[in-house]
Amino acid sequence: MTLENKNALYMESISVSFDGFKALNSLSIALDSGELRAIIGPNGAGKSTMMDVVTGKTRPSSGVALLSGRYDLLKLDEVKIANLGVGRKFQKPSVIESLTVRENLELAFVGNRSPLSSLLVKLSSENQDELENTCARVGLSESIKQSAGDLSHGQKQWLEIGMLLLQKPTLLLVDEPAAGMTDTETMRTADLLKSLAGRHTVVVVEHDMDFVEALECRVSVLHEGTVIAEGSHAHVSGDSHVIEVYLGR
Amino acid sequence: MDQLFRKLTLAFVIVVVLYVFINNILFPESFGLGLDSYYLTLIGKYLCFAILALALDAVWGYCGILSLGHGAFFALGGYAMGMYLMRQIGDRGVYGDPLLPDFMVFLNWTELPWFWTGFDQPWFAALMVIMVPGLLAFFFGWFAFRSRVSGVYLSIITQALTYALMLAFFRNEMGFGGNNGLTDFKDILGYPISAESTRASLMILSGLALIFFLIFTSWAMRTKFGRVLLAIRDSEDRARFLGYRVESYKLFIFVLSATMAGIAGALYVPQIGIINPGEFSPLNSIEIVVWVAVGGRGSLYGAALGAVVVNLAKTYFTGAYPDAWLYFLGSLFVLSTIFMPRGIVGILQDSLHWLLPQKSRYRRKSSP
Repeated sequence: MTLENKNALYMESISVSFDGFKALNSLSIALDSGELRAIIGPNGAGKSTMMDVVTGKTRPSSGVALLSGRYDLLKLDEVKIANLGVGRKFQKPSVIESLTVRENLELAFVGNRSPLSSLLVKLSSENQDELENTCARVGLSESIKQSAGDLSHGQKQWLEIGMLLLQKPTLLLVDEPAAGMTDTETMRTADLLKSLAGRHTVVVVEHDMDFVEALECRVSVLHEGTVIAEGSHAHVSGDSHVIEVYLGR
Repeated sequence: MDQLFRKLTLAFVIVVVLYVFINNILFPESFGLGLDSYYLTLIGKYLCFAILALALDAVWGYCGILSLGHGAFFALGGYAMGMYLMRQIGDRGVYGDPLLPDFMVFLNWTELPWFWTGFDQPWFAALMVIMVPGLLAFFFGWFAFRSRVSGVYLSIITQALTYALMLAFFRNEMGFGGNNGLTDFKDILGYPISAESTRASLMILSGLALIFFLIFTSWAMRTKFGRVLLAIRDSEDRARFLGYRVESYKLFIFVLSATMAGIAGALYVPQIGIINPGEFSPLNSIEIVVWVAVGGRGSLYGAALGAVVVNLAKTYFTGAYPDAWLYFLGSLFVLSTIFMPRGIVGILQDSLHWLLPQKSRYRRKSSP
């Protein structure tokens, strides 16, 4: 493979079709290590399909996808990709409702994931500290003993982000984190995501333009399975093609 | 709070075991308080069913795998035990053949089929009680979970599995006694099988097995392993994207559960005195689901309680109103699903919740 590069995520000419419908049409995108990137686009633009390709849920019919310039994502399955450090937050908060906040975070903690070792493993006190710090970082210290099912919608989103952080991901994929959040929660989430960039490469898929603006990062605009514009928020919102397909509706 | 009920359940089983141990084994003459064979067998049967319910709850209640074929693993464990008991008959059968069981002589067979070899040894039979259901569950689960068959589809396949085994075991050519199954057992480990002291020992053994499995499964479910299972039940994709190999966990608990069911079957057969293909009937497997649903799934002791309560009702109804039993079972399932979705356990928890509001905290259950 000649595509040795330093990109945290590198995708080139990725195409996915479902029964003739091209969900991704020769999509190419490259992310620098530690970058925060927002991906916007109207419904059906291929945002979720792109995440599915990166996490191994969907196999493209053609193209290249590399993680950290080294790992061929198209040859690995979901579990292997997750263990290489790709964390994914779903659009609908998917925390384990029957467990407490702490138990949810413990599950996410890096470590041996085989059934046998999970019977015997215990978190060390060091790890407990790290867990509690992460819990504080996503603003859930007071709810640590609560059942995750009793959290508010916004808190569930944060818990899920906290779980991702404990996976120590190199690449974080965050699908519509602000969906269903109040304005204050939305801004807190934007701050949280901004603080993650640098240490992690973060991809945020979002509909909410105010939220994207608050992220103050590069924006890629997806339309019909391909990137039609890329640049700062101000740049893409001035692009006539973008206005036509998305903003101008 | 679940802890309290679990301990009460354990204590109850221990008391029953101790009572029988003291009055039937230690001092069978002195007090005259020993239970007679009818009750010993009945209690022994309930205890085996409780283990079986526990096995189903581990896969269904904790991992969301609704198996409608768990009766198959129970029956296979039972057949392995039955084969040992058949070989123990020796030349005391009706035809007096020193090697062949009666049904083989009747079919004019001249030699023992290869798969009957070794079953004269108790250790070999004990190994098979675990291995046969375990291996079947392993191969079945390997293919089903890898292809990500789940939900209703998996339930239907498990149902088909037990049905197919039933049809196969009904055939005389299979070499397991066909229609009549295996019966007329004489002794077990050298003790006469129908003696009251043997019955008492078998019942005690079933009780000890239940105690062991109750402690073992509730320990396992409190470890990280159990939490991963809950994660798979509540949100399979989340577990997978956290980096857990969902199919390995499902396979692990499915095989473990199948071996538990096999052991329950092996304890059941010497007490009941017969094993036939009827044990593979899909209806049996569905009944197990009803026990767990009535008891309350996802709490282990609830499954055990459900098995005992439903079977107490069965014993009464099949005696008093034999025609009404199936209607009763059906309405019990429907009513408990509608009015007590968390089963007997839910009622216990709610009543304690009402008595001690500040201490109560139960874990939410997701819908199947």
